[in-house]
Amino acid sequence: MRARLVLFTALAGFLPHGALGAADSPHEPKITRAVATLNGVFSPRGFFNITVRLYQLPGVEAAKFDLKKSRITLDFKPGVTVTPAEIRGVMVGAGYRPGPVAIQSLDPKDATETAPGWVKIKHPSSRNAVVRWFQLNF
Amino acid sequence: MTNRRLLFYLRTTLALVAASVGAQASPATFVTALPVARDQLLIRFNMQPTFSTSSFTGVQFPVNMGYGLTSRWALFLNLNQGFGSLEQTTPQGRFNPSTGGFGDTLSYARYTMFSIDKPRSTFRIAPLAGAYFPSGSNTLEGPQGLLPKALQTGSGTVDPYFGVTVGYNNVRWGMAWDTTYRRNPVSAAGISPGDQFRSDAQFELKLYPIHVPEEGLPKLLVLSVEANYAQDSKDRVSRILAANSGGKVLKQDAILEISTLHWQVGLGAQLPVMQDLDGTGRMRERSAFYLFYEYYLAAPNWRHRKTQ
Repeated sequence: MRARLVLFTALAGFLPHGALGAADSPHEPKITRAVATLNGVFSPRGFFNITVRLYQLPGVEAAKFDLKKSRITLDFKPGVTVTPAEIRGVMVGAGYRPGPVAIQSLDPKDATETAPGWVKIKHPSSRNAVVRWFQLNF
Repeated sequence: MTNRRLLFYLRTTLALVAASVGAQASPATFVTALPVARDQLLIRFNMQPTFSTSSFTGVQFPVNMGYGLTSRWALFLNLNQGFGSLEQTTPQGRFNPSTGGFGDTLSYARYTMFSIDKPRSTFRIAPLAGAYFPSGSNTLEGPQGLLPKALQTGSGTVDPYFGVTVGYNNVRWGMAWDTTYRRNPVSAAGISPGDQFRSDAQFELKLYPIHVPEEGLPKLLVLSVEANYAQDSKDRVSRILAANSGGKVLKQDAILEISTLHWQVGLGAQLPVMQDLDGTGRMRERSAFYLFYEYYLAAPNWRHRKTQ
């Protein structure tokens, strides 16, 4: 019996991650994705204005802009949630009038922040306002 | 160009702008219509060589800065510097006077009074007001006395400046238009360039990518066709209106621009279409060129506090 237990433990250690159902665990944090329609943004400059304000959303990791659809897609860190009102708040703060905001919940493997077209969002962390400004812009 | 043709030209341009339903274009020859969002800093570095008769050659290096104070209020600062030289024939022989340095500094505020933001288009009307501050000089002298107006770097006074801009943009094309007026009071020295009325129009077309992809933000190649009309009142010398001054000028420009998420660069040329100048022997522009590089920055973030 003891030999069987040792063998099972050893085998389990060699199995790939998730083979024992870990990926389907209900405790695995999901990725929150927000898709917002932007009204009046038809230039890269317009998207820039929003990009530099996104750090105000806690946990936002990456953003993708669709010029043709005047649409922005945001992916958050696993486990971080957001409301449409928070997304709208940032857009309105940038001077735009956002349309509908859709919130989705995705498995971490579906996050595409590293795919072409995605922009990593900077989160300035310095206490010094000047250093924070440099971190945000450069 | 006759007045009738000029009227037709202006009407056609204005009709095209008015017919557009929806403003976020980026003209190269006038910066009043530059879109600036809240907390955005925009810096544009320009190089503008100009070639005229009388062997005049000038190169200006204006720096334009825009700051979005709120979603409706934007503040602008235009720093002007450059140099110019020309050839003068006098009874004493030929001279090649030249000047350089800072020109007048323009500062104005723009208020977006009316806007329509739709998923597929945006339209804005924004009046503006400010002033030119006399950082240049209007009393530069050479061996023959006061240098010609083309070599003076300023007006010598604080000049009120106001106007209105209109703009429309959609995913494929955009338009912008402005009309401004610069009042030039007579300086203490009794010298003043005439007041100037300006009207500029722009049409831009995104050339590349030909088909905007369904997803993503591609780098854009944009063709901007612009027209600049300027009407100058008579200059004042010794507080008397100068007969050899004033007139109407219309110029046409074509500029290619590359636009990305963080910067924009533009290169173009300008040709005069009409130069209806009062007096005789006036200097006439032959050609001008535009090169600019524009960079976007977020405003210092002590205005919007960190939330995490």
